[in-house]
Amino acid sequence: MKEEKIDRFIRKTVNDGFIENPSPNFTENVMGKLGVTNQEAKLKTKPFKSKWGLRSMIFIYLVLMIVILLIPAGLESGGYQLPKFELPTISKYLVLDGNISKLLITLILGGWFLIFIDNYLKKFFTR
Amino acid sequence: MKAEIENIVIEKIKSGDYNACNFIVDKYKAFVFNISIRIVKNREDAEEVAQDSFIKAFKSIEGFKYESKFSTWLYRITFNNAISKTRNKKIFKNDLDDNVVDSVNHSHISDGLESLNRIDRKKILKKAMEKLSEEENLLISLYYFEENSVAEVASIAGLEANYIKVKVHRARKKLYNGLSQVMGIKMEDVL
Repeated sequence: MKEEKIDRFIRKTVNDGFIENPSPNFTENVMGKLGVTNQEAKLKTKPFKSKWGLRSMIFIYLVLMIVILLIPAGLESGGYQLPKFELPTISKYLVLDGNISKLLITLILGGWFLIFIDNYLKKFFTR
Repeated sequence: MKAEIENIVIEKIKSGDYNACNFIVDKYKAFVFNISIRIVKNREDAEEVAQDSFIKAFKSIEGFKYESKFSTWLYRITFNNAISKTRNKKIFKNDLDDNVVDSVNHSHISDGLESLNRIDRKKILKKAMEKLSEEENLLISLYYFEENSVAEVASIAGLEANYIKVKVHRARKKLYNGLSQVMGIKMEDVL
């Protein structure tokens, strides 16, 4: 019984950091000797993260939409004024003139586009 | 569950995917290094021996047939590799009939150990281990680390289980003796 207690103590102490550790780049060196660079291994396991990130992209997008579309809508002229040049059909539909449903459609389509871009970038950069 | 994951990784390596080796190296590098350093007695050489042992293991992983634990198989490769790097090719001496260790009063050791903190425990064990021969030191490490059984230690060292059993028994007695002495010194320090 007492022997068991001592055994438990030794086992616990030995497994609890009593042993010496090899150098920090040990694994890297073994992988290098095997012909596998650590970079390759990391690329396989860690997906690429876009620099900006989806959330910050959506945030910037929303702020820009508010600044560009809502502020001019409150002006005396009664909304966003089209420039003099002719716009393509789809753009004509999406451009706001104070109509809230058009604003929502623009936001949804824009958000969807950003999600698509973000996913595309992830797939492209993850091997 | 852990063993299942390990088996999946081993199968991946067997199929030629060396990226999976990362997992095995990270898991076993500490003990592979410790077996090496206890035999070759030098940090740089031990690092080289440990790395070469992994390479050998991965290159010959087809030979691993799940007849033992993967760790036992890997430690055996490490043990042989380390032995071949030293001039002293015979770590275990045939001295089963030598002096018998005195019996030790276990009760005051175990009671004293319970009152110690983690750092003191490490210091005491280290001091007691220093009193062992290199052969005993290696056996104790193999026996206590990862809960290796006598049969597994025998398999790693490539020796008969009965022989290892006697050796481990003697090394443990000696370690208890060493602990008793160190604890005595410790008590004097406290008083």
